[in-house]
Amino acid sequence: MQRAMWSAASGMQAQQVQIDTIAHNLANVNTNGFKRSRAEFQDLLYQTLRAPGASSSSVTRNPAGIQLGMGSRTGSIKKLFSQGDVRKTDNPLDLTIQGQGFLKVLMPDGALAYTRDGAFTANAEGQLVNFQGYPLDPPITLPPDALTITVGADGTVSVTQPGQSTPTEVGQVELANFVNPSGLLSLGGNLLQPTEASGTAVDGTPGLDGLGTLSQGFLEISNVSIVNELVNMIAAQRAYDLNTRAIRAADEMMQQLNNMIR
Amino acid sequence: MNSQLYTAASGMIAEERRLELIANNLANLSTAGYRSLRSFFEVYRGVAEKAPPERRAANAAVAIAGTFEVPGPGTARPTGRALDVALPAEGLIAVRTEAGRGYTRAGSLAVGPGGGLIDALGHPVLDTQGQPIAGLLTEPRIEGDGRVFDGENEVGRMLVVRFDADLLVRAGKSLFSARGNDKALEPLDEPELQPGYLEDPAGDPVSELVQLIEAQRAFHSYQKIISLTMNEVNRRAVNDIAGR
Repeated sequence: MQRAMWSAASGMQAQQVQIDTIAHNLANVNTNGFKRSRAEFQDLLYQTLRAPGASSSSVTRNPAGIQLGMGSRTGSIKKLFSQGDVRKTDNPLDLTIQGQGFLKVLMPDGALAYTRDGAFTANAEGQLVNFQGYPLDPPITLPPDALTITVGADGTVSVTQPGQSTPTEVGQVELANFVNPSGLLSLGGNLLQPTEASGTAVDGTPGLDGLGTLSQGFLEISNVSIVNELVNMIAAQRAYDLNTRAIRAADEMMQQLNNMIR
Repeated sequence: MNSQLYTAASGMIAEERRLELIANNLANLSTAGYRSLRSFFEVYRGVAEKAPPERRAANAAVAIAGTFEVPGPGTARPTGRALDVALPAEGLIAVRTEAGRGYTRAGSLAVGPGGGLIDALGHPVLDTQGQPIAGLLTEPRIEGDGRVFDGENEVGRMLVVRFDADLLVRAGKSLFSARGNDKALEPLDEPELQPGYLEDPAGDPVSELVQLIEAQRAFHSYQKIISLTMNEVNRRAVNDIAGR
């Protein structure tokens, strides 16, 4: 009975993690470049009371062993990097990556952070920065008299200036990719940092080497599907219910045991 | 005397074990690739063979004879992730663990630091030669027949073995071990994996709940038998017969 209670308790903890993950996904349904997470569970240890295939006599064998499990545990919470929904904004400094890859920004501590959030603005010096003010890497500075700004699918940034008939190229947006994006560490603020698990960043030009292309005037929102999250939430809630039911059953059985001796 | 006490007590222990199994199944309602465990009971007769037929049942004891997993597979759910695989009913992925080979149905694979294919706990996934699959650098992809590609280059073929209830024991963390007898497991030549899908646990919550109620009620019945024996039968034997 003790085992049953602890198993069910571990199941309740697992479903709690499930609900926490779903709540986080739902809270970020409108966050630019957000990627939904998935909680993954594993069964815990087993007590093997009798191994399968053990001999029951010199000529016969037991058809099955006896294994009692001890519940479940959270294995990992994986980020899923499928393409998010895209919203048209008509802002020339909004960029969407169609396909794989991350934009790079330079953090104040000198390290690079990676993001799918393509909402950039020009700061007082004309440099492209994200909403925290971290500059895009490699840096791109717009001339103060720029009339129109064009970002090509391959990342070339060009501007037209007064009195010039042809656009001038002012920079190139680079993308980076990781062999295992799920291994990236979330820093908050839509930023991700490479880890041992993600591998090192492979820089490249948009549209080449399996990297996605850029679309100007669009923003990638999250890849959270509200319907899926709600269905998962109901399933998690019911599973939580069922585990409390197992605890109650174990509790009642123990109560009956105690009542036997009066 | 009072052998029914021991019969009822053995029944209570067996039902307790059953409850523990059910609790474990319910705790794993979200564990990818998990298969529910069920139990079957057996009856021990003790000395009853020598007793006259009408007294045999009174000397019996019941116990769990074995646990077995419900046949799979569970529902394969689309995830859209290239390195998720749902396995066929009888298939298991071979991985290398600290304690020798392990086998798993949890198909949420990933690429590890050195470009190797790893399972959800970081164990290297093995190819048909028993070596870890490596060389994934840009676009990892798994085909339905178990071949693993990096872009257009084939880097290896996953070892998928057939489930064998006689050999495999559950080792926890969604792993099985073959008790040192890895060679005896039959590799599947055409594994028919489903990339982009993950397998839900097999076994439905409804039958778990029905079994839970069943175990609880049976436990209660055994408890009643014991109470009745102790409180009524023994009391009357002492008071009514001996008191005469």
